[in-house]
Amino acid sequence: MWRYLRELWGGFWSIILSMQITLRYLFTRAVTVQYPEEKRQLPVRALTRHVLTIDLDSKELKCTACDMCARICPANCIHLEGEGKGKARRPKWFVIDHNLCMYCNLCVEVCPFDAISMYTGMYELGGFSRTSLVYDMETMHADGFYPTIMSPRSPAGAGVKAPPPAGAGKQARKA
Amino acid sequence: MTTVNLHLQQVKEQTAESMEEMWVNMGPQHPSTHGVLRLLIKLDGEVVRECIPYMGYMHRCHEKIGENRAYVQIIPYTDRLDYLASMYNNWAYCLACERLMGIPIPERAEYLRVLIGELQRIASHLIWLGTFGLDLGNFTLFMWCFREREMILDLFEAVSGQRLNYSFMRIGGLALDVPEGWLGDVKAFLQWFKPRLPEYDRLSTDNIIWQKRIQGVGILTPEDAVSYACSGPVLRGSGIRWDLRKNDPYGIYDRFEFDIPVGTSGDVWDRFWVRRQEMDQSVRIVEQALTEIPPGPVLAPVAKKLRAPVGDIYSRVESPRGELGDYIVADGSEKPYRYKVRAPTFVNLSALPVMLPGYLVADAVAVLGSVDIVLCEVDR
Repeated sequence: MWRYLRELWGGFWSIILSMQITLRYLFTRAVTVQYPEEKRQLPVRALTRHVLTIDLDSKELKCTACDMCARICPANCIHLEGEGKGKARRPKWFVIDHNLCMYCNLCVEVCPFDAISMYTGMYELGGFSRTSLVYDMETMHADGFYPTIMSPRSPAGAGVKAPPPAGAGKQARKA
Repeated sequence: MTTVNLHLQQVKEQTAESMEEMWVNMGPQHPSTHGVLRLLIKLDGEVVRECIPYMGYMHRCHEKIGENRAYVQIIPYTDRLDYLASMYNNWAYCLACERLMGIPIPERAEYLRVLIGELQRIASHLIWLGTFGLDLGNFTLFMWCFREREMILDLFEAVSGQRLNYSFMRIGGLALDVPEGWLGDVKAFLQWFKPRLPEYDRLSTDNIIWQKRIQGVGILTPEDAVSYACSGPVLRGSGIRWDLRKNDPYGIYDRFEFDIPVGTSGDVWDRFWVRRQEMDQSVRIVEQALTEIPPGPVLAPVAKKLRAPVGDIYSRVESPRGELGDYIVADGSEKPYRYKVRAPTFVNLSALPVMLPGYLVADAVAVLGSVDIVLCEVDR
């Protein structure tokens, strides 16, 4: 009988102790973000939708249709065809199927001309059909500067720096 | 199908014989099976007499896909094994390839691997503790653990750009160096995280209801644990001091000071307590790594097209769930000839039929939760 009562009191006291510490959090700020209204700032490296970067002076695609990204892609989601010879070689068409993309960044790392980037901040890719996730050259054509792996690094060699504000893309990016 | 039919047969026989014992399906859509696991449980009243886990609902031919991909291309697929500890899957695979090809890894990459790996261990144990609390009805603990895990995910997102499937390690080091100021962020996180651990304790460890719920339940004897080849906290909870970080050091783990917590009786409480203490030890390792981390490159110069010499390798790491091993047979081409993953949760889950019998069906959830399974890794 006494043991039962003691255990009852022990359980009750445990709950009180737990409630005490829980109650404290009632007066702290919430850690959550009300998503569609508020948005987190993505880090620079957040892997999101691809863009094909452009040469900022001539506004032309840097891509030379060397097929390296298509060959390293584990999911086989990049398809392209080039036209032209030598330095004039450019992609005729370039399609990335984001239904299959695994966001591994291998295509970006392998690109010798810095011509493709995933640091774009475009992450709301929901659509109503599967074809809406298949991006062609026009959709992926960059409208300004996007950071890539080869973008200027800090003296400490500490990775990708934030892009300069001028000519930045549509989405806000974290400095 | 044959085994299922066999058991349907058994069920029919059972019901014909007596109404005292019956087979009950738990899963594959049960909310507490942590995925699509089906447990066939033989009940005598409320007491579990027998348990047969059925796996394979999530089979994705991981190993076969690996045989059709180049060595570098497998890395993103390894993320999808144990999605709560992707860094360890990357690490195990990259380590196997590096040993196979004889690629030395830069010092900074080694330190960053340890640092990121231990953060990943904390994140994995946090999600385990949270979902374990959820299984036992401690919802606050779940929310709090996810809050701290989210911070680790933010750190990883700043490093790799992904929140769950990082694909951050490469054969020969890491994909990128950490961004500027990231190590400071890790320090700030530890400052925040260390006082949180006693709070979890007050909510769970010190709580008498919690203690009474899991003490003396789901006992796995050391002999059974060894004979079922269990590893990780399940093995250590049974009182066997076996941790690959100490017993077969990989990377630079021999340079760090940390203890291996072990349990005494092998019940759910011991497995819980081992994981809870491992978080402390991981914090210790991260702190040591932060002070010793040298500057330098993070990726060894490796060829774009990697070819492994003819041979085979088995290399293992201590993932948060146990011994995660990768076995690769190379035939000299760009692709592995055979690629096999030794998944710790698959082996640990196989010991469930020994842990469950004799306890109440309500404890089945606690025992299953204490094994810390990730069904994507179990089924591969």
